[in-house]
Amino acid sequence: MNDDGSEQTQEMDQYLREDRMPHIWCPGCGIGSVLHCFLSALVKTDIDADKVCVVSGIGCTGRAAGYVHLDSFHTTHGRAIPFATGLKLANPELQVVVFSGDGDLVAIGGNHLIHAARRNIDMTIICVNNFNYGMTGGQLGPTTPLDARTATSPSGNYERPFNIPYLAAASGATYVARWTSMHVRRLEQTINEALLKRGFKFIEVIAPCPTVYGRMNRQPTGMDQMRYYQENSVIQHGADPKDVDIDLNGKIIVGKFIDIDLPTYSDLQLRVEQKAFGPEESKGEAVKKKAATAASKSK
Amino acid sequence: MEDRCKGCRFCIEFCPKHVLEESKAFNAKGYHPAQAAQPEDCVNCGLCEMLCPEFAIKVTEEEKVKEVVRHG
Amino acid sequence: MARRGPLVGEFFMNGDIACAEGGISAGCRFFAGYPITPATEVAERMAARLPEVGGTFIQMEDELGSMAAILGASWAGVKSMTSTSGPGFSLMMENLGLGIMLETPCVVANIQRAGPSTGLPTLTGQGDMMQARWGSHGPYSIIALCPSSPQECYYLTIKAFNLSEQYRLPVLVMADEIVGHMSEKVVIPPPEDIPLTPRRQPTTPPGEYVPFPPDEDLVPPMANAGDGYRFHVTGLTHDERGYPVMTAAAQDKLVRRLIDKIEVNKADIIEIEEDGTEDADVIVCSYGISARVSQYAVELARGEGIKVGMLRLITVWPFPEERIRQLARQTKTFIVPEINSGQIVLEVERCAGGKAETLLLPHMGGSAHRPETILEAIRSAVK
Repeated sequence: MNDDGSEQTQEMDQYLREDRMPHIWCPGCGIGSVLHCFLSALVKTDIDADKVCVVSGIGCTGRAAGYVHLDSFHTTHGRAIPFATGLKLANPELQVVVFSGDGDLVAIGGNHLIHAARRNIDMTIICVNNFNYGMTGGQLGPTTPLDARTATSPSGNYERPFNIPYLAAASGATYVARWTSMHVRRLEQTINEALLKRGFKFIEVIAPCPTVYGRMNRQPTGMDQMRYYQENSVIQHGADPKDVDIDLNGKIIVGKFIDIDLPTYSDLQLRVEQKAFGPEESKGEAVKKKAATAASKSK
Repeated sequence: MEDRCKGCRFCIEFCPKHVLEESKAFNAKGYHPAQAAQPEDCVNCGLCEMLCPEFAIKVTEEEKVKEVVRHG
Repeated sequence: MARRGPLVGEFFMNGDIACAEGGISAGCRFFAGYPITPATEVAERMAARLPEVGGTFIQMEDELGSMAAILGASWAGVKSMTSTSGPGFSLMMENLGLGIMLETPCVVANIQRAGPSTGLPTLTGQGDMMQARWGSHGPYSIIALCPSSPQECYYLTIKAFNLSEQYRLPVLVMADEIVGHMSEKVVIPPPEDIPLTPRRQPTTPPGEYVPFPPDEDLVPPMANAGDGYRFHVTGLTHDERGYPVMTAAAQDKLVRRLIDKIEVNKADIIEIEEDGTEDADVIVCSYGISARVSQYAVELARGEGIKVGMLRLITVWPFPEERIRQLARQTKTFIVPEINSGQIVLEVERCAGGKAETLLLPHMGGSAHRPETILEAIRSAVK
């Protein structure tokens, strides 16, 4: 980071579609903060921005793809991950980032999430978790805590929520972390680290939804929820993902939980193809070499 | 481009040096945007800029005076 | 194991395999699919052959993921396809709509089986023809080709890829279980003899590029992801910049163009095969496996002196409305045998406009019509 930060800011600005500002997110919504962290992190990696693809699904967080000045795809509900899989496998040089919400990625998109994690497809998932389906008016979602009020649980939610880091880790993700949108610097650093790593990387970001979820649960402003994060977040790097459930108004364990290196889908594919067809260079190998050369140019 | 601030107060509440405050004036959308009350206290940590969900606040350095500049 | 490029020569293969090889000859280098009878062989062939030609195969977790993945691969600049049957086709509908809205070239092969629901997985049907036209929500146009033989499975898959690049949309190859599982001679020409339509590249430099200003034929040039064009595309109704615009005016402009780019260019897209229709008293109009049976019935009928014509639809969508209208003025009856309860017959009847009778010969599925059934109908029609 430069001393005056202005050069960094300018760089980050070029990744924002200024012609689409102001965005649609509500006052106090945390998605903008998360987007800012992502773009700042991207700038710091020196990854060739032409090769970055942002894929999103449907929902408030899904709108983020429309605000980034990168090749971006606003796809169907729950299908950002398989779309991104197609992009990545067809052109391994692409740096694919999925930026979507809890409902999109974990409910309707849940099946695709676990399989992409299982395959260890090389991509980065940023999952903004605001505990409900905001865009459609605050209905319950797969992460809504027990007893929370939502538009479809007016007397209190009686569905156990997912513990997303646990789900991602159990499915095979090789990098799993969680922060809140208050932890801007740490989130930026985590995203930076994830972008530079190979494998299926999953970052959950808890963010405020004041207009619906917050209003229905006695946290009507973004600041209410940010203060809650400040007072209740506990940083535990290396925590066992099975222990990081979030109860209503309970502690939020944040940090980097999983960071391992395992062969990606493409590595395994290459291994099998070389065994089948001999050591001559396959397409995967050629592209991998090209990608490695490109990566070495970017520290 | 102007008047992005939606009065969420993240920058005000989280500035470690309490540089920012809500202005009395309204912006075009009817919010009281954040403004720098004590710009000389700004240490350029950049938290306000990162936290702002609206991309409405930037930290810039002009000569030796660190100034918080907001969009609108 | 040796690597083989695209095949060349004469082969004895079934329709599914021919479809896969058609894809490979057309330059398809990405396949994402899910096993489903009777289309599984397409996927299995692709799993074996794509690594040989430097492509990528992935068996996805479901058909929804498969359709999404082939769209993504296409946007990465790689020709892509999937294959399925009725139940999987239903699952693909939402993302088919995304493919239409994003104007993404790709091919979806539906090797139809008897439905509804799980139906008869190993036996033929033609019950997805209307779904091919209207299965996704909202107003749009689509292109669907119907092979009647393994050779056509090969050739029409190539044509499907060419049409998909020409008009920027997913193109459907609507085969059926009998054609998919029958083995016949398939001639595969050398690659240099196969005309392929290249992707229409942007003509503006990256700084000036916007994704959806149409050329004269209403189709916009397409940038590939990673080439520096920094485009945004969305399934929301959008303007030429690709940005969402939530107005009725934008909807009208966009959706009309998506429809018109097919309708206006219909003459170049539609392929039909006619035999003896000019002075026929009765015309048998059919497609796919039904056309094979019809052809034989027509020959038998002609042997009895009946002036019967044969109209085979190779392109079912867009439907050859004009030709049916013309023929309706000349003939007395259209006979439409199809392996469903009556789908394409509705189009025939609509276009005939009462000027000729339309007789449906339905068959709910599980086998093809018997030639005698069609022959009997031809005889009755001319009494």
